[in-house]
Amino acid sequence: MSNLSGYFDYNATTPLSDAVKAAMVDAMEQFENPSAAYAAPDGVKTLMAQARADVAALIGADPAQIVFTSGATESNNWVLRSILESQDRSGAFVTSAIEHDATLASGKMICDQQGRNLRIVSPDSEGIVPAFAIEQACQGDVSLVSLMLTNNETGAIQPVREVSGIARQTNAFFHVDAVQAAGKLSVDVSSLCCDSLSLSAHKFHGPKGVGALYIKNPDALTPMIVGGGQEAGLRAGTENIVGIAGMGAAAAEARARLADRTVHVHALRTALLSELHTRNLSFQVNGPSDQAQTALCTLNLSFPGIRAESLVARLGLVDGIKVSLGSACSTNKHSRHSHVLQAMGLDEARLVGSMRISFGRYTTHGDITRLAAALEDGLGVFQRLAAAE
Amino acid sequence: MFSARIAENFTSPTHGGELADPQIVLENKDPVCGDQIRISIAVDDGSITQARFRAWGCATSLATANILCVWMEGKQLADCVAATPEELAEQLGTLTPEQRHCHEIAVNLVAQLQPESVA
Repeated sequence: MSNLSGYFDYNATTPLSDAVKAAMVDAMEQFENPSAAYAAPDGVKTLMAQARADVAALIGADPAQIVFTSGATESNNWVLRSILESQDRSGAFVTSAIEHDATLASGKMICDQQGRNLRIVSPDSEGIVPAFAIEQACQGDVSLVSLMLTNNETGAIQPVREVSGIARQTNAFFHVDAVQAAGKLSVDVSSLCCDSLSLSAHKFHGPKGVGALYIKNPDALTPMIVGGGQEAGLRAGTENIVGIAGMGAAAAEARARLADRTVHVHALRTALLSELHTRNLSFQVNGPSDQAQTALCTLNLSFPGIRAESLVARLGLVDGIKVSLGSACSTNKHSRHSHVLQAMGLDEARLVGSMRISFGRYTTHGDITRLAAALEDGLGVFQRLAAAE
Repeated sequence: MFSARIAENFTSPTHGGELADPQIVLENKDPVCGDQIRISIAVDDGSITQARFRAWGCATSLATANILCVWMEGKQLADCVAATPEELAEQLGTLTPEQRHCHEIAVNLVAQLQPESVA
């Protein structure tokens, strides 16, 4: 895998693995339309069935409960709209303040359109949404509860299992956005007791533009697109065979490598924190203090006294290192902070000094040392430039 | 994302620092995004002989501070006072919409130059 030595943005997207590339190349030979009566038994229908089975196995589902989509944004939008439009408008939609915009923005739009009550629950200062706060928000009539399994910015693992019980007590539909968890942590839909769950292939070395929606009871969904009957009548249109083949291969590989991956990212995280301490760099970790409540591939850090926007730019321009920014200057001179870190109640200095480092399969310990050295160098430069302040 | 001019002045600033006994000090603090720039200036016989900056802010504002210092040095103070916003925009080069507030920062800083403040 080339050109990945400075890549620390695995939560944004991941490179295709060799196995996924091979599966996609093979699928390119499968040109037949899966809906055609003449498709060979070992051809495109088999390919799709295998991919569906592999995705289902990754999350402990039945293949009949898997619908391929264009990605988790579509999956989240679809579930929210489908469930909320099929239910009485008196029931509230309960979600958290740290959800991805695929949930927050679409939920707000639908609730605004319907005049439906939207209840957004804040996390604690470590980025975990307390189950009791969800329970308080679920008083009265509730139609839908949606909670992410792992936060994309802090890695905080949310109390999904507990919240599923709360949703069940209120007879609400329970959706889980598992985009940052699938392929990275053990995800089992039976254990989570969710009604639906979304995932994207490109977060675990699959291709972009393809994802899936697990739906416990497919009858609960209204079709996303009608016209061709594909995906059990739920999402019409000739299937993205190459993408689906890639997602299936990625799911199979992620499942097989899960234990090794866990050990690898834990070692990388430990090494990076150790390097930063050894270099006497001042920083704060934004997220759970308990590693058991954290997806270890994610490390959100704040460096006091600097604007992380500059540090991230320098890492990119000088060191060829790619990390993600928590806050940035934006148009109209308004400061734009991470809605997740804001919801956690972090102060202004910690917000502007924050960056997200996320690593994965191809990250090496040499990369970690290089990143730590570049951080030390950059922090020194900016501290000297700001010395009079 | 960054023009070559902004990238160069940001990654390799040549005029960082602070003069011990400046005749003029320019300061800018953006009330919204919090970017801060302080430029200390030495003037001799109506000519700016040295300019150094301290800054805390985004990459483009740091580059802006360096560009302004380079631009001022060796110029007549009166010429800098007379500089138009267009001239300063030329110095900064191409800015994206997100970076354009740095032009306003430059204009605000240069507007603080007052020839009569120098003894």
